[in-house]
Amino acid sequence: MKFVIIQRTCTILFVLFLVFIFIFPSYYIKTTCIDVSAHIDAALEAAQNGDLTTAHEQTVVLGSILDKRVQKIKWFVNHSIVNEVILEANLANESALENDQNAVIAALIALQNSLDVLSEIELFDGNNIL
Amino acid sequence: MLVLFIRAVLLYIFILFIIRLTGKRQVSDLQPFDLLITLTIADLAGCAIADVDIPLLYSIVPILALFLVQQAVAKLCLKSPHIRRAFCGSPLIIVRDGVLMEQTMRYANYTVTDLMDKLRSKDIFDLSCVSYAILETNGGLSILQYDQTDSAELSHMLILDGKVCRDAVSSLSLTDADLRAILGGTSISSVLFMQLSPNGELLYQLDRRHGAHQFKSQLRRVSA
Repeated sequence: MKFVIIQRTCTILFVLFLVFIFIFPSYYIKTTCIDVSAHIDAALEAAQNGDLTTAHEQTVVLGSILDKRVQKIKWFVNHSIVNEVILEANLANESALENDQNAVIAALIALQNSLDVLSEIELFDGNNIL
Repeated sequence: MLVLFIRAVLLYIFILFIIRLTGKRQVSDLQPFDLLITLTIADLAGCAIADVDIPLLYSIVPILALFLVQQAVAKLCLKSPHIRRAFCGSPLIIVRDGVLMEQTMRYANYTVTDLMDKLRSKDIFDLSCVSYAILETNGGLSILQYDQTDSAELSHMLILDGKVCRDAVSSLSLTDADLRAILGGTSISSVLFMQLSPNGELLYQLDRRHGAHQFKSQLRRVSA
């Protein structure tokens, strides 16, 4: 009887854990991608207008957002994908510091592409399931 | 993570289907769904252990998914004989009255060599000693030898988990009315099992909701 109670309790805990795991990672990745994408758009617009100072400020902000959230994201996304996003963000930041407009634009576009990959990992659709 | 969960469940169904198709020879002492769990959990754990780039949750979530599906399948198998048959299959008689059932053996992908291997592992070296050989759902072989019983016949399970075993009952030309007559006022659904021995002795037990009492009686027919 005691074993049955323990078994049922464990099953309920597992179900609760799974429900949490279904909701939290996708929500966390989605909000992170939205936050970072907003700064990428701002940085890209500034870089295309030749305002590399503003572009640099934006890359610093998006870099700090990623720094704060990267450890948690690594709990539920393959580390190599997260590392790629960090690498692209650092590249955009360094290019803005060096006032290399074309490199900044290229790095920001690459960062946005990596973020798109990241955000699609937790997308619940037929392509991901199959 | 929901994607991972769904993928694990889909693969569970697919692998179970394949294991069932491969036949009982491959199962080796485990029920098909137990074998599936053993194989897949080992592999899932191995992935996360070996590759530090993969988050632990990538292994934990599918393992939990398999655990929950396994629990659900086990519960369903307890509740319904039809579902149990679908997941585990049915025991197959491959030797009946000393005669090899060739068609059944083909169906189970079981060769005479396999049969002889199993017989030797049970210290039986002469096929003529075997009255009945039953290929169990877990791939094991149960054998009844001629010298083990006077009649060398099998017992029949007439009721299992409150449901009439139609094949056995009809093969003995019994009817539900016969079973109800044996049980008196007790309903068939309250019987955990009822077994008919070759000597005509009936042994049956009520389920725990009805006291789990066990009874013995002789078979008597009300039908012609």
